[in-house]
Amino acid sequence: MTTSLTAGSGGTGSAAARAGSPGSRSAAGGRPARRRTTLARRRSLTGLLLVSPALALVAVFFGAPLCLTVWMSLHRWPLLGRPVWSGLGNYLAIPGDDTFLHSLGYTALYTVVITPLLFLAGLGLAFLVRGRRRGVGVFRTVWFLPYVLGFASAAYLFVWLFDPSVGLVDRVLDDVGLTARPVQWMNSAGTATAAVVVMVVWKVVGFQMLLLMAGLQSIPEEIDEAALVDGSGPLSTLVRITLPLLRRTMALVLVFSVSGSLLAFEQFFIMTGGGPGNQTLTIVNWIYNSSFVNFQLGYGAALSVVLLVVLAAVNAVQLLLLRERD
Amino acid sequence: MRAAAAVPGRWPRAAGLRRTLALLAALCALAAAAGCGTGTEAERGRPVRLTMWARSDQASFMGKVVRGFNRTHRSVHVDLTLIPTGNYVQKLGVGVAGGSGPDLASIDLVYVPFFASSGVLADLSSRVRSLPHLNRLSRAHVRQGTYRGQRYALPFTGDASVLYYNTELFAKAGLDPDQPPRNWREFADAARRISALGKGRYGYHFSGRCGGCNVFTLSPFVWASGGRLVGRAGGAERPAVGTDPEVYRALRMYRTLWRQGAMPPQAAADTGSQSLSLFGGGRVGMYASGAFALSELHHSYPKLKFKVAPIPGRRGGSSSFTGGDDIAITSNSAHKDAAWRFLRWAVRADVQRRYVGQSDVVPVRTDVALGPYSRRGATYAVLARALAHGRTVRSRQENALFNASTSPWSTMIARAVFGPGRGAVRGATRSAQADMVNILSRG
Repeated sequence: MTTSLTAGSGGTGSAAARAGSPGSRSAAGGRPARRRTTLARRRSLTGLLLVSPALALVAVFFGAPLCLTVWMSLHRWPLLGRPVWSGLGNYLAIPGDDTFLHSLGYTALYTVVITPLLFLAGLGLAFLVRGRRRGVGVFRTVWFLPYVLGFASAAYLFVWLFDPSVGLVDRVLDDVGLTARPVQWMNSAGTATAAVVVMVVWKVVGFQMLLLMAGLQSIPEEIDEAALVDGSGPLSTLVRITLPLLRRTMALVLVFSVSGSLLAFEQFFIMTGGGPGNQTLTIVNWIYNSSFVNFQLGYGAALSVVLLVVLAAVNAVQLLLLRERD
Repeated sequence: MRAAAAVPGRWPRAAGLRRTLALLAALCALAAAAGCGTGTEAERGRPVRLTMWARSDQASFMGKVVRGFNRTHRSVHVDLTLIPTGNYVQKLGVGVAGGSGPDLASIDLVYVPFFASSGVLADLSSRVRSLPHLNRLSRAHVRQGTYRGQRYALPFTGDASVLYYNTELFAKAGLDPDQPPRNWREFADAARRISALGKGRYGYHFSGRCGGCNVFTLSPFVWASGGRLVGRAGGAERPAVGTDPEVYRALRMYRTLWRQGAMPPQAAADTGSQSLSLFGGGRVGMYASGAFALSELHHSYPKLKFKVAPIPGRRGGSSSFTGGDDIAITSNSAHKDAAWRFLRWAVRADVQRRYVGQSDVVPVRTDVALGPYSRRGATYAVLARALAHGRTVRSRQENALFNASTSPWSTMIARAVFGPGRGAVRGATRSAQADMVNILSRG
């Protein structure tokens, strides 16, 4: 019973198990058993062959650069000239680097602000477009469309929109009567961050909507009906039925948006340039500056390794918290 | 009839095609030959083609210099490429590292020690020894191009920071327009008296959020008083901003002027873009800048009455930051001999007078600068003397320590001058010192 269960779970290993257990039982018929094992071996070999392009891609485009990054981080590695071994020197310099510590704090703040905003907006839109109504496809498309745009082009679009002299935002605020004179969006950390947040929500919310919508549609209607019959109100259905059943999708969406925010670069690089006075400098922006403005590639690599560890830890905690307990 | 016309019509076209193909093949062969036998091009009568990179903000006169060279040289031809100023160091670094760099590079002299120390510039020592007039070239430029006793670059274009002052505002404030401030006391006094005129007029402006501007304009105040920004300890460079008392005093003086309202409110946020219009518009009595501001001030503000003076020290004396470019040959250039001809030509007295000194650039030859260039007027004479006695910040990490917007130097100035609290200056210099030591410790 147990063997059949594990075999049923799929994958190349299960094929071997399925072929192996009957083979040992029918020891009398040696020939078919051998043929089956060779068949099994061939099948697993085929499986390996089929995934090998993916493995090669991972090795070449992920494994090798990762190893190189770690190797670089242990050197003083100027853009030009010869690298010199420096052991943990670059890592030891990190606690004394105020710019990095500040960028760490700012990136965390940005993540804490943008993640719930994106999630709530995405969930709201997902509820609006989940049913099969006339014209719902149009709205799905319209809200998803900005996601197809590159981050850089979207950022440039918003640089123009938030420009105090030719931009649309200040003009509209002025015409509506909310402001008396154009707001210099990029001159203070608060307004600059607000501008970036607006851009990112506009750009990414469609993707979150799509994921959450798929999650909502996978909840069987019977469960909702049963809840209705049991006398559950809309709010209690949402909190006690829908959201718990949406757990996996929520984990996915949150991991996406937290990782994306911790790695934020283009939107800030283009819209604020880290200014005013480094106040909106994100971690990746500082890694970029260290490597390609200050030419300290080894130090940039060390910061990247630290960021990788932080990212892995945050995602691990997140997945742990959102784990299905049953 | 129609068929007869069509057939002959077809053949010449095909022949034309064949001819084009043959021509293309010949061109390819030529290109291949050129690629192999580059050294002998000049002997075959074709000029050696050199590529040269310069920053885009020097577009106006770099083109003239290169055209002047190409007009007078038959065997060498220089193709100039302008690179956006903000990306220049990065592009040059990546280009040379990747083997796609130019033969000649005109480099902002503050970055020359970095390039010289990293092996991407050709060693010119033996060639430079043959130059008869090395001692007549700007000392700061030559020093920047020297690394461990070897020469990697020659002076090319010069600039010098000086104090611009508005003579009308000086007169209105009861100051003598012919007597610019000679020490910090007179300087601060002039700033306060001009600010006292009111009506949105202020004594002194500086760009509070621009590291590069302040290397150019604040460090002379420190140097003229006997202080320094970077020292050396045991063969390695060691920052001095947190230990040198004159850095502290200069920042204190700036802070006092700011607190007393002798600086315009724009100073705190200016990234360098506002200083010229504030001074040109007659709203600021004094600001420090270089020769690069001259023609724009003349063109955009023809009614402005101003003079220039040396940047004063605390108890007298003066100093200046030497700006401009060095020119170097990259180490993987295949035409070093031809490139050297351009360098030798560029530092000739007549070239420096004719092409370099005519623009917003000071000649790097002191005999030209102090001679014909100075005779053009008092402003030019002050600039020339400032260049002849100027200094630079010499560091392999100049950008990370000083010029970059994320640099400890930029942060220190913003905190020390505009920051809250009583111990702002002391705190700012101390943490800048720690940050600079940290930057030099990593890589």
